[in-house]
Amino acid sequence: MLFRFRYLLLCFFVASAAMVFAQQSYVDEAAEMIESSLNSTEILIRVCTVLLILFTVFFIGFFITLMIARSTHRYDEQYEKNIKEKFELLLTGVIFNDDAEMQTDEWKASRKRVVKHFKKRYLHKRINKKYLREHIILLHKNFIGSAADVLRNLYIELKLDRQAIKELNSPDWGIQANAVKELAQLNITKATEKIKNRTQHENQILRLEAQVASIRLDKKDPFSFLDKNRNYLTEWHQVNLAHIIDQINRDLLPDFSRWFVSPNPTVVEFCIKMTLQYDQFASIPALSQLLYHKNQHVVGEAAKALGEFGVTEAQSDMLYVYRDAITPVKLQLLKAIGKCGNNEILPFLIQQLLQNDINIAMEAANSLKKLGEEGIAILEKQTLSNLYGVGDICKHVLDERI
Amino acid sequence: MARILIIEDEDLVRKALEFRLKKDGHQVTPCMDGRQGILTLETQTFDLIITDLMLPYNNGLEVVNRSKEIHKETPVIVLSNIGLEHVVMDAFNLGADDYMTKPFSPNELSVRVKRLIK
Repeated sequence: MLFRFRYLLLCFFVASAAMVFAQQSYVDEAAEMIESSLNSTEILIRVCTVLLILFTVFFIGFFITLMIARSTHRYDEQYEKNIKEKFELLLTGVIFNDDAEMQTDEWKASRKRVVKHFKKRYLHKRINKKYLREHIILLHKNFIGSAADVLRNLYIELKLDRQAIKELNSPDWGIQANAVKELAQLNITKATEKIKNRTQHENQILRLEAQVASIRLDKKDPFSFLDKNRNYLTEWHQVNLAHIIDQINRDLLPDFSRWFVSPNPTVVEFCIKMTLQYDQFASIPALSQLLYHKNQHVVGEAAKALGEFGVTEAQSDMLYVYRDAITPVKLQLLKAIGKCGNNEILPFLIQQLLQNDINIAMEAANSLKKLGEEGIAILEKQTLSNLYGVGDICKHVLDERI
Repeated sequence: MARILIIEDEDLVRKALEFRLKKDGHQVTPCMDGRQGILTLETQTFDLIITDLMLPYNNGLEVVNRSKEIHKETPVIVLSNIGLEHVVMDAFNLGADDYMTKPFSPNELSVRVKRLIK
């Protein structure tokens, strides 16, 4: 921004100077001389001369602009380097002390003096504040304990949070997303409501950052954004949410079955995964109901969770929905049956083993093996099968080397 | 006073650690990548090496490996933002003496340094 302003100012001066010079008499004389010479020559030579003059003027102008731009850029770089060095000194000097040392009056007075000096000397410029914010964030990401606390206090004391909160209103989603990330990193809870307003933003990255920040900052209902989430939760989005959920206190986790009725199937899928991840056994009845969900991906995810939980009672429901399921979901159901089924399911698995679909036959064979002795006996018997591929599948599944 | 080699690619973190360890009375040699770190430990001797795991050119595990080849007795602390079990195990199997996951407490690092230098 600063660079652009300087650049415009310089262009303005160059243009003004050119206009002033143009008014001077010797320029008029030169113009007359060129004009008379042009009048006395042929048309082609006249055109060439005019073009030559135009190109010369253009290249001189271009060269001057280039030089100005380069020197301005160099100045800005040097300025940035100097100011960053000063901030490094401030931060390392302020945060890296023993806890006992930081409690002394002498240290507190000295810190106050240094901070006041920096505030007065450097923080009147917006760009300097930006550099300091970048430094604080970087250090805060790497350190915990008293060092992180000191950094956060310094951030608030220098009122840098105000600038970040102001940036939440920027029309640029990138600036907003960075501000959200920063406020969440430094745990600035007063920005929670503003951040929560961005959890349904049309921009995916800003939406994700706001949701992650909401989980970190909102102490009352950190997952309320799932209530009204109408946007598709991509795998990447889900991974990021799961990562941040992993970092919060387990006691603060909600009952994820609350969102099993969400009209957004990706939210339901995500909540099934979280139910499984955090062993929320109380959600098992609701999970069984999800086997009848209209979205096949949800059915597959529910079957997977029920299989992992080992819910044998869900076996009959799984059989019921199996017939109308799409092939990938059929595979998930077969896998789940292998984990939670009992011997009553053996005839069904034999039937699937004899199917023409190799993937289904393979998954059925795997499930038979998981069901124990009786399943293994069936597989051994089927190794002699004359049906195309069945014998090979059974041998493959029974091979302990694979 | 101990001679400590710090290998960390993040400028600010390296300078911060350098400041803290100097404040504790140690003599610190900073390096910004794995290659420079290995070259330094091949030409000088140190009482302790602190290395990041994710480094340009040669990673932290290569630094630990080379360090143990040259000066078997020099203790090494590995810093990393990866806390995965197999990564930690790899570092210890190569001979790392301690492992700290980022974010970490500088005071804790200071205590661990003192313990290893003893």
